Amino acid sequence: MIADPRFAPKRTDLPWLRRRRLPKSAQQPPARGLGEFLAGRSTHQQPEPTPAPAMPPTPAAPPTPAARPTPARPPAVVSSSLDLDGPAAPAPPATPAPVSSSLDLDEPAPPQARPAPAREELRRKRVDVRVGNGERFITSPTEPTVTLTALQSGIGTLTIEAAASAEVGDLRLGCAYELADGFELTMQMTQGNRFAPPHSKRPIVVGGHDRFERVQLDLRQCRALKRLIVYAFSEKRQPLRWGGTLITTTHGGARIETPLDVLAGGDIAVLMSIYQVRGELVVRAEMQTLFGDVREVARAYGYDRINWLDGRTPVE
Amino acid sequence: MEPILADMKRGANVSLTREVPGLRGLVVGIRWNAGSETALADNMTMATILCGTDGRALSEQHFVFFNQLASPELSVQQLEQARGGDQEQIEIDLDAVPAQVARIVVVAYVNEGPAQKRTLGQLRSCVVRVLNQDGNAELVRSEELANSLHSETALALGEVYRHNTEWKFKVLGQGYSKGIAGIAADYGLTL
Repeated sequence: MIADPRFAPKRTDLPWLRRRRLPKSAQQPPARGLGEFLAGRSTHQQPEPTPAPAMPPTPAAPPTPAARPTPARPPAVVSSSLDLDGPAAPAPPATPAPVSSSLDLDEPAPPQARPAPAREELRRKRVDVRVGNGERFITSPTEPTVTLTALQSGIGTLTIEAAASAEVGDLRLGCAYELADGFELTMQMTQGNRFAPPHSKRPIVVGGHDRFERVQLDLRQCRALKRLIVYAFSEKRQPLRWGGTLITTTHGGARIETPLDVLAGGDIAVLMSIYQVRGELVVRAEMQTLFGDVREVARAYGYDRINWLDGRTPVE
Repeated sequence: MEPILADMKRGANVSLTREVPGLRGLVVGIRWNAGSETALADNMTMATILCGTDGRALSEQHFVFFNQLASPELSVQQLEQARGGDQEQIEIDLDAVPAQVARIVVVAYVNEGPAQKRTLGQLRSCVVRVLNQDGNAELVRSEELANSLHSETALALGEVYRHNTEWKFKVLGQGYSKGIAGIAADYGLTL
């Protein structure tokens, strides 16, 4: 059983998690580094070679024996008015082995100064996968996500088509969606409900069937969409022999292809999710089969403001 | 108040900074009337492209429209709510326009959504105008551009451009039968 976090004992081994971001140099006692710098004794931040010990919650910890050997303090400290490392520093200078409480800001710096790595190196970079005009991107389990640019996400129509032959079975597409105003429902051609929102004169999502099953997004209204999932199921509730390809096409002809033959088992499969993130559509191949019906799929993906008549029919 | 130059013909240009010394900012507005064609009115979209001297967009971020409301340095911003009778408006802070931007082209297009297709030929009227951002006085107004439109689905209305140290405005009125895709190809943008 997981204990209530409010009453859990305090973790003292993860001090940096209490900060909003990793400090520039995680192990550096800040005041001393600044003091050194301001006093002109160092030219840069000086990271310590070993990790800092755990930070106890009580600052008034009595001096304890040093947990690890630390170089001795510089004997003469010149104090400037800006020096945070003033003569009133807690550690008695006469002590041969300097005490080290983990909150001791007066940590001596190692003799050799090494410049801290640039901030850019510390920050983990996330590179969005993009797909250009007339280009094709094939999603895979290791690269399931493509981010459309603001232009690709806001111009024309985004078409999602399940290219599958009769060999697969009577594969049909549907969507569960959430609009920016919080409205949630499904769009499913098989129920005669091919518009989202239903009966809208200006639908944001439109289902259709040309050669293949198809879902289209009106990108002029992309900001009105918060998220959606595209699922595939058998209208006659027969087992599907998963196969074919889900093809997503932008107005300029950039294509995202998702092979469906990697799916296995289940009654219904979530093929794709699309999230609108500040005007950019993040398209992700979900490729998740499960046993159950549309209701279970919608609930599994957190569309929990839809109520159901039966497993396949939402209450409008 | 009458504009300095009303009924500007296609291809005509005017030096805005010469007419109004000390001009700092502009509002460019489009005023259209789609009559009872609500499908057309719903899908009419304004966009602004910041171009270099080669006539191509500086980057994808230099295409300002409802889904990207400002250029990176905020010199051009689309207003979410246009005022003064225009359907759409942008504001240009002339001092903030990057030096490598030579032209700021204002376009309108019909978004090709899943529903029925519409063309600009169904517009009853379409006019572009330029206001002084300080005080909203109308500086110039184009002639009626809707009369010559038929099956086009995009239109370059006008451009604000540098000429030596001046900022000038020119009425373009150039239609595109391939819609925004045609404009994107002309200005080097990826859709």
